[in-house]
Amino acid sequence: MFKNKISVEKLIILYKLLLDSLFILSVFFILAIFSEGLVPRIISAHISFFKIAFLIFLNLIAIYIIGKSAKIKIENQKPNKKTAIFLAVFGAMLVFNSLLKLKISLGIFILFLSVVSGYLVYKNILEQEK
Amino acid sequence: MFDFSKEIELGKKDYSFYQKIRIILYLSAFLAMAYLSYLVVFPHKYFSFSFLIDANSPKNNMSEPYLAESNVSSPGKLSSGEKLFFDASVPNGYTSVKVRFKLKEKTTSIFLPIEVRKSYKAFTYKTGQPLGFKDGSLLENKNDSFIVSNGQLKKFSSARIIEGLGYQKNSFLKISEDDLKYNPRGEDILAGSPYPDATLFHIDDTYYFLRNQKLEKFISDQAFFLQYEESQAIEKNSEFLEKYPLSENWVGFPNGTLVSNRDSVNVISQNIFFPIDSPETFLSKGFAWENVVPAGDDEMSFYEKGYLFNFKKTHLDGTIFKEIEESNYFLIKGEEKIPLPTENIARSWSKKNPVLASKKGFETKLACNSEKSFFNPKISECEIPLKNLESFPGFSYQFNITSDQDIDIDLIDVDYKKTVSWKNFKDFGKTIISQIILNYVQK
Repeated sequence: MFKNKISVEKLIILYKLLLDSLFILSVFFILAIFSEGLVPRIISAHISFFKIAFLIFLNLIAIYIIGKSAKIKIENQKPNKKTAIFLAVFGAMLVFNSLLKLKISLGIFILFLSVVSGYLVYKNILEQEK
Repeated sequence: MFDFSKEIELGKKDYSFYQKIRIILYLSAFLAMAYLSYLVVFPHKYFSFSFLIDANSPKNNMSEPYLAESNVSSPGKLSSGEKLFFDASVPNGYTSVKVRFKLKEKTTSIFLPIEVRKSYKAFTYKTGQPLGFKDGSLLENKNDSFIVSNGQLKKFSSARIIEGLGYQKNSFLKISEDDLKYNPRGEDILAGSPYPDATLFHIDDTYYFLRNQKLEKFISDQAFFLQYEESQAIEKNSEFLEKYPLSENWVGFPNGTLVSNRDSVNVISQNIFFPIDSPETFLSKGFAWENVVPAGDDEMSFYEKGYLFNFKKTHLDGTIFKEIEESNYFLIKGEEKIPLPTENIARSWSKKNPVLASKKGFETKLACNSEKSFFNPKISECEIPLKNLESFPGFSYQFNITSDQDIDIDLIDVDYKKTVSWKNFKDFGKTIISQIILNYVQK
């Protein structure tokens, strides 16, 4: 789409910068969620999570469009185990934090179901890719 | 720095350009996060009121300004010499406040000083006529015994009458001549008289209040004990219920009572309960946790649910204030501050601790002289440091302005600021720790 107006090299630079901005937004989102979980309203009083999520969404759309325009193809990569473990543990902590007000037995049951569901979804995606 | 797309290679020139832009991107992100951290640690609190939209619009997060002390709403038009009041409440810790007015027309007006004082809004209500003892009070002065009935002081003409009616000797509160001055005298209670209104009874484990010669039931023993002593109620058996008809009305908690039910704390006033939206609002109103009484669903079922009691709301009818300096008591009723002239009178209205207020805080005013903004001649603004008001109780700041000519105001902005200081940073840390403890440790 942008090929005629912007050179391919510039598109690639833009693509790489968008990946960097996606990284920044993701780190910010994770830190914001963690802070909000500890102290409700500490972040959302100043910036809404909808805006952050919307920015990340726009960033992803831009990466897709720019990538297609520049005909960038990236080989499927193996999931980074360290990142996956970190995200899994962080996700479990968030779920657990949200269940604190419930009875402990119910909370543990819901957490168990969340972990099992997450694992099954992940495994299905891996098997489909294989 | 790590590269998220190593497989996509760039030429040397392009790579150098990319790295430069990347540094700017990360620097900008760092500055943005630093700014957000600044806003979190040293927050501003903004209030605004626009006369161009509906007063109740959610965009107006300040209650409607009013003229003089009469609480008459102002449409934004101010005549020369007229005073406009507006309130904006914040917790302690803010170091200064900037007040900004946007006028409809450019004007040569230079506002007289903008003044601010700190108190609770209800404490700024006009003072009404002093009030005496509450109905049902049993009082003794020298050799005379009285009951307060329909606001009047009714004297028992002899000790025999008191005994004959069933009152206990120890149920009369000994008071001074001074205490007696504020209830008008009613007719004496003679032999053969019926029970006067406001007599309390205890019949078959239930407490009753006699009103218009009908028995009104207390919703619970707790509702009775929050207002009266056990000894004030005359013991009767169920046969007594045939002598006086039962009223369909009931007696609940006294106005202004703080009750907890399930997970929320509520204020009771005029047969309605108002849930308090947060612990911060609770503390900002000067309420104390030890004054909260637990109420069951059966007791709460007698009340209708009112609006959410948040920071912007003023104290409800039934709230009792105590001036710290001179121990004067006031009851809030019908947007008036009613003096309760003695401690005995105040205690008859509420057994719980009053909200502490400061007369000095009420009388201390800080001011600034507003000036036209350099960028927009329709805007006048000035900033007031709040340090001298910090020590006074209360979280409601009342502002007032007077213009030297007729003006038309479009918008009022109030911006509270916390200066960047080590003290404010430590206060922020303490607040965060206490909130975490509240979330995870306290139930």
